[in-house]
Amino acid sequence: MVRTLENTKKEEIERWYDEHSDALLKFILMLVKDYQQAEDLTHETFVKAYLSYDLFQQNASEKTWLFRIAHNVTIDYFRKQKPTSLLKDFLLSKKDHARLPQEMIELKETSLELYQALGKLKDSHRKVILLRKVQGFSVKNTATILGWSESKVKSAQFRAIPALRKQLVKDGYVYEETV
Amino acid sequence: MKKPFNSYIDDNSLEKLNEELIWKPRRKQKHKQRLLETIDQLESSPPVKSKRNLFSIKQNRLVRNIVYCGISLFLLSGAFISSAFVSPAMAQVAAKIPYVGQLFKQKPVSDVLYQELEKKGYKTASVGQTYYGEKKELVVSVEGSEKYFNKVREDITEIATEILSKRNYDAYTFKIERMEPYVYTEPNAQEKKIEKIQTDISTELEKHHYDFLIANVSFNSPPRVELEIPNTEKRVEEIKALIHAVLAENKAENASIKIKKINLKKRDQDNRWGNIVTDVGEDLLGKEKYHVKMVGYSVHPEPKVLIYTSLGISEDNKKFANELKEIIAEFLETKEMKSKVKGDSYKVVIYGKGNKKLN
Repeated sequence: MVRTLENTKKEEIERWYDEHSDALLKFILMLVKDYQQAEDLTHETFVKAYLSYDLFQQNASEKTWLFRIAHNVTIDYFRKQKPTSLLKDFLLSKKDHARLPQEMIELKETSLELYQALGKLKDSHRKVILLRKVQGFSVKNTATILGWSESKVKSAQFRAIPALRKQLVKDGYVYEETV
Repeated sequence: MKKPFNSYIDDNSLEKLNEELIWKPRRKQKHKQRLLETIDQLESSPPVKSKRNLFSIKQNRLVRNIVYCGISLFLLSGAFISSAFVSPAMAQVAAKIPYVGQLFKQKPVSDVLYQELEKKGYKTASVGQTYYGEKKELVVSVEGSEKYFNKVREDITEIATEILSKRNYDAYTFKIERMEPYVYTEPNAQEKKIEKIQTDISTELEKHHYDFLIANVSFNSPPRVELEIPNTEKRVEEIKALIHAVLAENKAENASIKIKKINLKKRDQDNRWGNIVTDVGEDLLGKEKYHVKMVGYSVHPEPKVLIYTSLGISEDNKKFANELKEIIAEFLETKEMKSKVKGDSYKVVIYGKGNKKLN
């Protein structure tokens, strides 16, 4: 059997899916806060990765590249949803951050509060926490994914963590400070 | 239950959130199947006509005319360019001729804008050119207060628009955003530990004259050390032993070690072709008339310049692609570019819609 380039490409995308789809789905879910949409956008991310496969430069990490596509896919999604309104307004108008359908996605009780608090942060804060702290990307790769400068990533991160802490206090999940 | 404030949202709790949010395997498999089916469909079906087909009938006619006139106009292009500066009438004619002419080595438009803004004293954090899908943006990030941003926003937009217009870069949209000023944050204990291990590894390797390129330590689960060495360095086991010792000293024995061998000649070639493609793409991406969505390259196994266009597959467009290929070849023959190509043999592949080859 002749092994074609298309076959290799498909196999590679399949491997990427096995390795990275979980992380991508979580990232997208925490941005769009709609589980069905998150599944669809994860699908779209991989289809775009397949279509642009030849643009992928092997010297970059495939995970960073996939996250960059996923980030752009979510931006496009928001633009299509409400082209005239600010992304922030749209996010704030979304309700019910917590409920997740058990048959699709499961979240353990211990992380629920954090998930809810993250959902209420402003977009740039949430993105930087998700990429730097939840997914463990370096500052450089986070900058690549978001299309920001490295200094912007650093300054956003600097503000994001206190903002998350403040949100947890506001939600009543944290009651005291240790000294 | 009361929870300690400071430890509540440390890295562990955020990593735990990642672990505790679970996409059900059945759903994941279902969507994998869906993806594979979509890929099969994409492979077997002809490209779907886009709603925003940039290449309208009118444009097709234009291209046809150009292809017919192509060779003679190409020979005249030098004269056209010089006369375009002196004769507005001639400039008008030249502007109507798509893609005929030469590509010139010029600075990226973002560099030009950055320097201009710096010269005028604006607090510019960065200027970048971004490409995604068919969207091309020139993005300026401005540092400073909201008040400052609002004050300079219009002026910077005007300067950027003028620079784009001078180059006839009609493919870009301009975006300006405010960036929070950078505030230095003291590294936390883990970051300090990582930094120390990285320094220790580098010091030890240098002390023993091992040849290495980059040492990167990561404590994300699982913790690991990634080291790049030239493929000429054969003492891999010795290097591993040395890193193990450094990890043990720093109480990080559980970290795994990954060593990647780098072919330096290939890496140099990769860097050169990365620069070449940036030069080739500057004009091609900036002007709508080229219909170029993206440029790329590969040096495996041999250098290849990849040009992605929004053109459909047709005989006219194939001719267009061949002309484009010749123009790129001509550009790479110029003195300045020759020093980057360094005699490498290369291919230029031009794609149309659906990544179908046009040449």
